[in-house]
Amino acid sequence: MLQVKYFIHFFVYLVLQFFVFERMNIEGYLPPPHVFVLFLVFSPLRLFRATYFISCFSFGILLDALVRPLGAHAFAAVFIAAMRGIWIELVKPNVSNEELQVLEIETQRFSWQMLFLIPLIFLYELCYYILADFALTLQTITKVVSGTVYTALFCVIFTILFYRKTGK
Amino acid sequence: MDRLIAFLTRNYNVLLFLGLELIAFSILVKFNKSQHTVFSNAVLGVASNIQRVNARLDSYFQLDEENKKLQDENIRLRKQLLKLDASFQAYVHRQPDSSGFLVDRDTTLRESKFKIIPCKAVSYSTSSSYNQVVLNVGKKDGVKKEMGIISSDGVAGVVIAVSERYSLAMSMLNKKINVSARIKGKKIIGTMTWDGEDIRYGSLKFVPQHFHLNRGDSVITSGYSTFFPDGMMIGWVESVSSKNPDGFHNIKVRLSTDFNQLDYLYLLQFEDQNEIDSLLTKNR
Repeated sequence: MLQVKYFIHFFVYLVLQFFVFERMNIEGYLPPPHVFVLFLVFSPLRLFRATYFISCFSFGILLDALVRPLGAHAFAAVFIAAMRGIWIELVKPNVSNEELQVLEIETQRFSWQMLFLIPLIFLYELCYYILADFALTLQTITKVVSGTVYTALFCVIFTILFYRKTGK
Repeated sequence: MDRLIAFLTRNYNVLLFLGLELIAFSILVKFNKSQHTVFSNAVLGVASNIQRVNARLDSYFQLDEENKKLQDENIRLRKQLLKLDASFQAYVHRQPDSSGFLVDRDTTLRESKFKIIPCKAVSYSTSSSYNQVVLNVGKKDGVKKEMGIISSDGVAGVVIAVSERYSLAMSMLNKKINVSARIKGKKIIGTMTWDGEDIRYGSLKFVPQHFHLNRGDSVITSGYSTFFPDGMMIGWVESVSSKNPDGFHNIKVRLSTDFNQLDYLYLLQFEDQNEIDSLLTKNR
């Protein structure tokens, strides 16, 4: 069941990103929001790490095939997959290591979800725009900051709508 | 093999992460023109820097070999110079034969009487009144007592003792040294000594006061000894004082050799040394 749900999310986010969010860039002002980062970050922690890495890479490379430059999303997605493992160790809620392996992100408090999500969005944007521009200029930093804010805004809405379990 | 498998099993997540990142980065720089250009230039820059460092390291490690080559080249040139000088002297001293043609007095004059042995200073002193130099050549290399030593800049000293593999020489900065010298271009002969004070200057003694000398005149070996051939550089006249009551100039000579930087040196072997020694022994 978990795999099926994950598989569906995979394609839904891919399609949404390409057909909807990539068109939401306000040329010259805001880059497109990368809402699929929410899917990458909030993927179930129960997944095997290797499966998770490969699915992130596959998502990235498929997206790259649709929106250039080829390879940038794949790199940033795998990077964020690795960073998620480190970051959750640092900000984990009051649970044991065993409990952390099966932790359901949807059941956690909204503030913790944001604490977990937003720094990783920033890292994703940073990694992606450095690779896309292949430089670290003021323009790149502007894109990273605006991209983070824009993406975080959509991710907050999506979290409230789809990643909150009622009664928790 | 087991260890390798154990390592791969233990770290497969890390290896998978690195592998995927590498693939993604390769795709990025291979299929995107601007990234490809920037990356190629960066790689080229790094590669050329590595090559530059590598070339510097290579040249550093080959320095000894290069020095040896240069020393061999110097020896070859010095031999040619000695030969040319001998030929020139023979030419100058030609005499007419029975038919009136100018011919050499002695055909052996056309060959230099000195051979050169390359060597290196192992240690040397400059702070004493009797400074010495230890050389890395000895009896097995054909070194004998009383052989002259020159540096690339000029006269450096005379060998005073020889062991199997090393030899000891007194440098020009030794109060016991006396080298027969003359002023280049003038028939003024004197004896080069050192007064034990300044390592940059020596003294040219026994030049009568009726000879006129100028500051900057070159002081060279006279050739009136078996240590050095004629014309080896010793230094330049720095100052001349004629106030001595003994009738000789007091001439300060700036030495051409820097005795603080002795490294590669050349020993001069006078071929007829044995013959002269036996002559002197017999008539002593």
